[in-house]
Amino acid sequence: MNKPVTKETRVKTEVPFLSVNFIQKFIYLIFLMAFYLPVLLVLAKAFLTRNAFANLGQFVTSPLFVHTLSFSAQEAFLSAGLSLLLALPGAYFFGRYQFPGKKIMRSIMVLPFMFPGILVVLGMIIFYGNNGIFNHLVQGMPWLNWKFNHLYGFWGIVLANVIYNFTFCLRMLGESWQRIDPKLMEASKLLGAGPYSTWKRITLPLLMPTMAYLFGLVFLYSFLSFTVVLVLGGYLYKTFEVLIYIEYNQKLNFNQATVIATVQTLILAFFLSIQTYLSRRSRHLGDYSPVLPKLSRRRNPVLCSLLISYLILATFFLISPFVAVLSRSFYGGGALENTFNFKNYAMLFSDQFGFTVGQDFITVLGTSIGIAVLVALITLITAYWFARSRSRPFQNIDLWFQLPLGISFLTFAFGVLMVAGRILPSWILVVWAQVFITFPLIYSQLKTARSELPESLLEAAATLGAGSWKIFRSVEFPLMKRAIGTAFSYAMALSLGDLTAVLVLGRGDSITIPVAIYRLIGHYQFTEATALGGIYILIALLLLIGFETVNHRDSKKMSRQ
Amino acid sequence: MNESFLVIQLSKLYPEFKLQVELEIEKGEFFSLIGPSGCGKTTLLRLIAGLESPDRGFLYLNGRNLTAVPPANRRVGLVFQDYALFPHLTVAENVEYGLQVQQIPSSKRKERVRELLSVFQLEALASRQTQQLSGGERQRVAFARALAPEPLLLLMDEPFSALDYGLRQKLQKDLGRIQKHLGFTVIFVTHQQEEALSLSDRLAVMQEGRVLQFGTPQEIYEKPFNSFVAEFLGDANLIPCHLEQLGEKTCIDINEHDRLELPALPGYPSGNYFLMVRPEDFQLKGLKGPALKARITVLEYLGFSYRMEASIGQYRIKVLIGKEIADLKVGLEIAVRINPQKIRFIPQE
Repeated sequence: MNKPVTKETRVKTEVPFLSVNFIQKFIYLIFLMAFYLPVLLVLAKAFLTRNAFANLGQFVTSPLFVHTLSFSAQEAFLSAGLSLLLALPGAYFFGRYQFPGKKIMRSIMVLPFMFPGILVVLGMIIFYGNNGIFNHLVQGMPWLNWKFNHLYGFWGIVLANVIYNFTFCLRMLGESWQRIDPKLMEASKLLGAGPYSTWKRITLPLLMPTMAYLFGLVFLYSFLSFTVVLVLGGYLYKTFEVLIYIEYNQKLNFNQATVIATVQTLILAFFLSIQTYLSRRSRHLGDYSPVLPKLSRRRNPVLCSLLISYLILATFFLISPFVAVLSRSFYGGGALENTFNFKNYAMLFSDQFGFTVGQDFITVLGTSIGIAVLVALITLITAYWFARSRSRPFQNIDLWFQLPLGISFLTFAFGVLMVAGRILPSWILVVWAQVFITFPLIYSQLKTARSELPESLLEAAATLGAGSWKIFRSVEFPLMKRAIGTAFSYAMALSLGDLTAVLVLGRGDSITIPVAIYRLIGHYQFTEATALGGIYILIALLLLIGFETVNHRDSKKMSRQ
Repeated sequence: MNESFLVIQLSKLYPEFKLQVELEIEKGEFFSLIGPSGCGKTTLLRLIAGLESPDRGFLYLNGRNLTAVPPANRRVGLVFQDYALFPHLTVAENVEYGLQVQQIPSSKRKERVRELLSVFQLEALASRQTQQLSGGERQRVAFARALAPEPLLLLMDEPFSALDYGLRQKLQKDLGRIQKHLGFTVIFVTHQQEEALSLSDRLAVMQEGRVLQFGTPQEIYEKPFNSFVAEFLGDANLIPCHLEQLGEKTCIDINEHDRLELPALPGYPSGNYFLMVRPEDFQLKGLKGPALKARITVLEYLGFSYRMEASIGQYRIKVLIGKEIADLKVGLEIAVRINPQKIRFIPQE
């Protein structure tokens, strides 16, 4: 039998749709440079100037540092603890039972996390303010002889952080609880353990990694809290983020701002290393997806009453501020005595609005949506491209992509200002910073989703004759559509809700909805602020409905007979 | 020029593993690759499909050099171990996919899909989503989809591994029937020896990235190249022995006391060997000539026969015997005879 060729051939070609080349490496490098150059410049400015270490030493030994660290750590600790504690009973019901309205509630729970901090602040002022709805209701109970007047202070800040993070914790914890196989609890009961003992020995240890992870996450968010503390903290309470902003914006002390930013980065590196350890542990939970028992009023009357009470209380204390913003926006003049109207919305088109905010409403709306779409597109395309790439041209590239989570937005915004503040228009600087803010979350979402897509499906398409573009269009995209849609919505929401980057880099030229709300609150123009808040809630709702519809259509198609 | 349908001469180097394979396969052949996990069967399949690229070598299919051709243009189909059915497409859409990407006119496409659904008895499931199918149904869809674009070569990576015994048997029969009916060439990867023996025209045994032996199932079973092949394919007794050619006779010393004297066995120079005997090749009665003394240590009733373990000195042998010998007991000393035609000697390495 003759062979067609007798000389051995050296093969150099690679399968085209899997190849890594020089351009890919170059893109990775450019992207990493865009992330790390600004941060490196801030650090360089702090460390490489004359008397750098003396300045750093002076700051970390000052009473201001001690006070800020102690306040930030306390409010972050309490915010994380309370968010988890309040979410725990709800997570039990969401994780262990099926009940009417659960699905829609779970979807709505995403909303507060999509809202900007400034909207939380606005809701807090309208609901928990001195003349807010809560105190209005309390006044109806004269025997109580009490009024909530802690909004502008420590407890107001903690409450705002809890409102911001509670639903997120509830959703995540509920999902973890659902993944615990009920047979474990049954086995424990059969071995003689009572309900409390089963909870303590089985359920709690299994939930603990997720709880620890969530605690760390909320702690970090609260530690970095900017908007809430900037508005509600007054002169007494400041986080490092607020300190940096004050040094830069009010005192024009750029050097001191970089010193504080550097110290904060070091503190965050410490917290983040703990958080990374916790998140690694939280992944060890199983992947059980059970059919949950239905909670019925006839069979479980006590549990039903407890769930209804919990939902009423949680909605009243924690969801009402957002409802208050929406309802107030439809009462012209801002008082509940007025009738339902669109006067507040009409005021968005007044000269007064333009005078306070700096730009007219249409420009603000256009800028917000334009920047958000651009940021979402850039983030989505780059994050997906990196997520689907099989080979990693650099070691630990995922870690480098996740590190921005440990660098504050304000620090990064400063860096961007130092790198290109004088040469680039403000909107490009804002887009740059917001891509940095959104990228780690979107990347990790897409990477997880992409890793769940079996490579064999793409290989099957290739062996059936499909080229790389056809494979993407006919197999990969339809299966990734849901994740891509969700990621796009998140990226839009994060960009739309960002106040920090726009405040520092917008320089008055680029004004988005959160900046406009911030300025309106600063001028006590709550009527227009509620209307703008109402519009924001509407946009967030549209985004939510958008991706929920895609998800629903997809899951319906999958289960079609 | 007598060219083989498929000529493989490929090598691929991994940090801890090197695959180096030379094989030739004929048109219409059902060729199996067997070997333990990690021996390189799947890697070889992926190299042939073009999903991995070789470091050296070439691959010719029907006279065409495929070495650097992307998988989409090779006309090589692959049935994946996990089936890899597209979850967002129906059964019919899955089967149609390969025809669609080749831009075959709609009427021809529908015709071919109908034909394949009929061959694989999937007509009733045509509009079902793939998640709603049973394991066997998914398997049949995977076959139909891979065959739809009329590949010159069909690769199958342990396609029955996820199925239960009964279903596996049925699908094996179906596959054999359809392959003979449609006449396509198959390379089939499995670690189930029974599957390989019953389905294959020829097979290759692989170990650590190399083909140790290839041939018909009978050749490999009867004349294994070495002790690994002997033990991997079927049950084999490998008894260390010393062989000595003494003119008219061949003497085999198993230990100090056991010596077999056989008529001259040409082709085996004197030396140390493994005496290889399949369990079914021992006989307790009916044969004349030299015998080995053995003591029964285990006796198991298998329904259709008995499985026996016996000791010859320090060595243990496995013997398969018919039900007619019913008076055996554990501890009994018996004489086992071997048909000289069935004796093989494998050199000790």
